[in-house]
Formats: sequence, structure tokens, C-alpha cells
Amino acid sequence: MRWACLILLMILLTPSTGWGQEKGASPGGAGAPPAAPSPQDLQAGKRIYQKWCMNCHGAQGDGAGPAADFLRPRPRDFRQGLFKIRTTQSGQLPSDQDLFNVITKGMPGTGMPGWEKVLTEAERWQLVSYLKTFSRRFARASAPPEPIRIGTQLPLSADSAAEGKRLFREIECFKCHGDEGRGDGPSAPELTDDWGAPIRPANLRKPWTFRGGHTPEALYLRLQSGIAGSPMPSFADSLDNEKTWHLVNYVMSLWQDSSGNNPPLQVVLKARRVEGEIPAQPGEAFWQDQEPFYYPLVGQVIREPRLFVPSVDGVQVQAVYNDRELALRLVWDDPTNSKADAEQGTFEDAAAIEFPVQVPPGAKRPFFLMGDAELAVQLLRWGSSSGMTELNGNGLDKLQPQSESSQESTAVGEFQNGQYQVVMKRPLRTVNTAQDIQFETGRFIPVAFFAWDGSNGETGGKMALTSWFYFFIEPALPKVTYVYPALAVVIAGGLQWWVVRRLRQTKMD
Amino acid sequence: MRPRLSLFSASVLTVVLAYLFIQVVIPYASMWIADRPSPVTVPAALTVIYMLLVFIGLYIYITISEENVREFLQPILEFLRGGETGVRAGLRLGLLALVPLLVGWITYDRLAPKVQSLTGIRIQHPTIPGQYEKLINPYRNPTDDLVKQFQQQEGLDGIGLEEARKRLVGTALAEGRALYQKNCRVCHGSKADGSGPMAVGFRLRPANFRDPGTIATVVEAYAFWRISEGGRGLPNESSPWDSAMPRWKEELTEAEIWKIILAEYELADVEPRKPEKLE
Repeated sequence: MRWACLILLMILLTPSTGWGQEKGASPGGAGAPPAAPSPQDLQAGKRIYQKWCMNCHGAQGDGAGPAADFLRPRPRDFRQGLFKIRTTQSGQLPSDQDLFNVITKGMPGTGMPGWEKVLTEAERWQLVSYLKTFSRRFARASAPPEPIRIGTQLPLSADSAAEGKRLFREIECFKCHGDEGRGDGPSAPELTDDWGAPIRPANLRKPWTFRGGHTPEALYLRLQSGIAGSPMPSFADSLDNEKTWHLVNYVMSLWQDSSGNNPPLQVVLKARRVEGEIPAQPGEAFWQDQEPFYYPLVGQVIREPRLFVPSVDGVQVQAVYNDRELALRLVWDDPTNSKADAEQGTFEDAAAIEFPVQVPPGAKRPFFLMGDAELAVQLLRWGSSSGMTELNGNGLDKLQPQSESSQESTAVGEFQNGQYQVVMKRPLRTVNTAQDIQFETGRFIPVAFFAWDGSNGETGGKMALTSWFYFFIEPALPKVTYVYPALAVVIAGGLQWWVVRRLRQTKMD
Repeated sequence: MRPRLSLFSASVLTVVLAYLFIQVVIPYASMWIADRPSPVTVPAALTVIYMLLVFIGLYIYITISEENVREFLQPILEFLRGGETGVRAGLRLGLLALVPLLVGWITYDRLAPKVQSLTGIRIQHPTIPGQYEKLINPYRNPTDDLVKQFQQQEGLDGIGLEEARKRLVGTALAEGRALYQKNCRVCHGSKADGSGPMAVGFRLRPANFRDPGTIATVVEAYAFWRISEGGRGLPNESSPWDSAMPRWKEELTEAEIWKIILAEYELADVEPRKPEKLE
């Protein structure tokens, strides 16, 4: 009877979830490809291709569709039969399942989305069959490609990662991927793919952008099979099973979050109050203890000149304040330390934080892209050549540095191993109230972020950005925050004591 | 007869099991059933309701008879009235000390200022301005005049009017798809699902056209207005300052915009709302 209650409850509880939702293909795609595609399959595949794929990959599969110029990496040219993400041995064609998996899951960090939700499993197989018609290599192949056998996995350990780090130098991974893995190696700027287009080595500290996913097995396969069409070779000859796992473990040891997922986005950037001096050097240990907030950056695609292939894809921000000033530490990855040079036609690297000049009392605020004619924004901008500048904007083309006397912000910036670290400081309140935001605690202040990678041709309106998020300067805690809980403890304790005492007195009843 | 669980222990067990069921079993079952990559947590409000149901059920069951109430209370009373020394006394003292501290902590947690994201009220579909209201997409059901013009341009005099109409729509759709992938894809996504590569940087996420609450609820003239005027054309209650939508009338022709709209609905696999017959 008692248990009947429980069972009844369980029945009551069940309908809360996703019952009745469509059950898609299991990850990786169960089922097998049709043994030999029928002409109908190829026709169907072609129709799907023309609707969804052609405008990037080209009607002839040459990777030169009308949208191709807006993508980096460029869409794949299928005619050579070279595919990045394979489970097959070096130099061989991908398996049908490999092609199916990329179509299903997409390729993180590129313009290729996963098609699981739009195309049925059967349609994705038809597409695989059709894709294979673009390269004669598939028809000529006499035997199916040989899969790579993944040997016994070595678990991630400090020793294994250290051995991987040694191999990272020995087989010269650092030449492209950089000393600390941020894709900033000495060869990185000159790399091109098999079609002559510039290509970037992976930033090994951003596993969520790995094209073939970031499972240990995926990393193992990339090392063994290479990434066809790119400068990433197969290391099957120099790395046995054990060494491959050591390298995989080293790469995984570089990740901030062991899951390899992108840092969660937080809408509100909080500034904590600290007592005393705030360290101006971005490398100080003090900054390791401050809460980091992460904001993904995207290309400025709103107005000409647009930037479809931004270089900086995210910025980490930390904020603290004391009784005098506000300090913000920005950290972002950029593969090269570029400087402004008018003769060479190169631009500096930079990052900026944007605030409205007047903190809006209501919802209304300036346009996030450098303000508008009616409402102005203020920018705190640090450049690798120009240093710290305060600017005001009333639109993308109406951005002006403030006068010399009004420049009250300071900054210290460093570049090391493919990463910028900058600490900016500004007094909470300034004299120039017409052009400077006055920081107050306890208010939601709109904030946006910008970054320019000079070596990627980014300058002026060509930049990576976010739209408005919120900045909140935490007020010191009011006294009631401590008084009321203390009171609550006393009252609860007293009541309890009284109840228990009465109970114990009536023990004899 | 096998020893039966005391009413008190059974109640505690029921509460614990129900909670575990909501927090663990349902999320994982949902993940498996809906084929999601991660467990689907039950919303906090729903958890409260479910747990409330459990407590109400238990209360009714316990208070069904005097005897039940007595049986339920007995272990509690025994515990509280226990001896002055020994393990049980220590346990009792610890538990009794814990309760006021818990109350204090909850009070502090309630009082300490928390930064929560602001959810402003934003009108998603403001009223369409008059000059856009009556426009219709010339490429959805092209008029005979437009078809004849197309025939002349393409030198298709040999084929019938209906065949030419079909070809005109087909051409417009193909052009629209290409224009969409060139201009709209970066934010609204190749699949028209609002998750293009640039979508993550904008707090006001680009519209997901596959969501039945977006283009499927508006007439094509509405889409034409939004594309033509962009974010800047929004009234203040729809937060134009947060919108990354360009003002496309500065860069695309009207014909191109209509073709994009034709393709947008097709790619999103939804139908536009039919304009209401006025007068």
C-alpha cells in the first residue's frame, strides 16, 4: 500500500519530459550505407546537394560556390577526394561512414553545420553517394580504405602528459601549433592548404573548435591519419600507439576545462571590490584569483567594411575596483604580435571595451556598434602600437579620440606565446563628465567588447565584436546582510529549544 | 511475515527516492528518449511542484488515522526524548545545532545581493509600418505580366505560359538560396536555424526561421520590412540598439530581397502567413 503511493507518484512524474520528441539517428549515425547507390539515390542526393550544399561547395563540387569567399576555412573542393576528418590510414580515401559523420555532426570552428536535424539518415546517405561522384578516386578504388586501429588507451596522467610534451618538441608540433599550443608557431603565418589558400593551425587550447571533435579517439585519429588537404601530416611513421596516446594526453592537459567544451557565456560581467592597490601588471598572481568571464567574439558583419573571417574568437575579462579606480584585465589569443606600420601597410592588434557615456535610466541605449547620432558611447581601447586611448563614438564612422587632457586611463599589455594580456585602469569618476562614463555601484551598465587582429587586415570597422552585455559593479554588502541571518539563528534556536524542552518534560505521558 | 519498514523511515525513503527520480532518472531518461547530448534537467519550479505533491501525498497517508500519526511521530519523539549521554545524545545535539545554522544560512543566501541577468520586455513583432503592409512577393505567384517579361528576357517564347511561370519561380528560388547563403548565412545559419557562425556574439540572437514563432507567424510583407529596414528600423520597444540586422535596402534590390524571402521560407520548411483580406 505504502509502495503503491510511490508508484503512483512515479507515474505522475513521468510526462514532464521530452516524450514524443522525434528520436533521431544515434550519434555517429547508426545503420550502414546502401551497398550500391541506385540512380534514384544519386538523383535524390543531387537534389539535396543543390538545395543545401551547392552555394558553398559549388555546383561542380569545386568548393567555389557563391558564398565560398565569405568562409574561412574555405568550403572543401570535393574533386580530389581529400577529406580532413577520416578514420582511415594516411593517404587513403575516407570511409563512407566518415563522410556521413561529418555531414551529420558538422565541423566545429568552420561554416559547416551538422545536418542531423534537417536531413534524415537516408538523405544523408544519399548525399554521401552523390559527393563521391565528384572525385574519380572513389570509383577507381579497388578495395575499401583501411581503418586505423586504435590501440589500448593510456589514461591521462602527469607522466604521460610530460612525455607528450617532450614528443611535441621532438616531432616539431610546436613549429605550427606554437610553444604553448595556441596555433602561433613560427611557421603558422605562411601555411597554405593544398589549394594555396592560407590556413591556420589549430589552437590546441580551444578544443571546441577542433574540426573532428575533441574526444581522445578523435585526437588519436588526427595524429595517425593526418588532415588531408592541410599541412597537418600523418605521424603514423614516427608515433606508435603509446607515443600517440602520450601526445593526445599532452594536448588534453592544455585545456582549461577537461570537458573540452567552450567556456559558458555569462551575461553579467561583475566587478568585485578589493581593498588597497590593484596590480597593474597582467601577469601578477592576483589576477589568477579573480573570477573570469568569457565572451565569444564574432565578425562585424553589420555594415561595410564587413569582416566575415574574424581572427579573435573570444575574450576573457576580469574586473575589480577599489575606492578610486576600476581595473579590467582582458586576455585573448592572437597568433601574431602585429604592429602598425604605414609603409608596410600593416595594422596593430587591439582590444576595446565599450560603455554608453550616460548610463541609461531606462531601456534605451546607444547602438552597440560604436553608438548612434543620438547617444554616444565611450571606448577604452588598447593597441599593441598605440597603447591606451579613450574614444567617443556616435557611429562607426564617427569615432574620435578624446583630447590629451581627458585621457585618464592607463594600461599595461603583454604578448606571449600567442596570447595578449592587458590590464586597463580608469578612475571611477572623472572631470570630463560630458564624455566619460561615471561608474556607479549597483547598476546594470551596458558593455560590449571589440578586438582587432592587425595581421588579419583588421582595422577600423573590420573587427571582431559582441553586442551589449551587462557590467555590474558589486556594491559593498549592507549591514543587514549579516544582522538578519544572526537574528534568524537566534530565533530558530530559541524556538527549537523551547519545543524540545516541552517534549522532554512531557516524556512521562 | 517479513519485517516491515517503520512509517517514518518509509516516508523519508519516499521523499529521497522521489527527489532522486526527479533529479537523476528523469534527466537521463529524457536524454535517452529525446536523443539529447546531455541530461535534461527538470526546471526548478516543476521540481518544487512535484516535491509538493509528494509531501501532500505523504501527509494524507500519514494523517489517515490516529494510529498512523502516532507511528510516524514515535521515532521523532523517541529521538528527541532520548537519554542525556551516549551516541544518540551527541547526534541529537548536532542535529539540533544544525537547524538554526541552516535557517541562518538560508536567510543570508536570500539577502546577499545577487546579480541576475536582466530580462527586459521586448516586443518581438512590432506593428508593420503602413507603407510595407500591403506588399506581396512578386515571385510567389508571378503575374502574367511578370512571366511574359521573363519569357522575353530569357528568349523562352516557345514554351507555354504555365511552364514559363514554373521556371521563373524556380530561377527566383535558386537565386534566393544563393543570396541567402551569401548574405544571411553568417548569422541565420546555412540551415535557416539561427545558428550561423556569427550568432554567438549577439545577445539578441539572430532569428531561427525554423522556429514556428518567427517567419511562420508573419506575412511576407513583414519579412520584407524587417530585411529592408534592419535593426535600425525597429521601434524603441523592440530594442533597435541590440539588433545586428543590417539595413539591406542600402545594399540589395527589392527583387533580390523578395527572392531571398522566397528561399528563406523554403529553407526553413515553413509557410508564410496568408495576408488577411481587408474590406
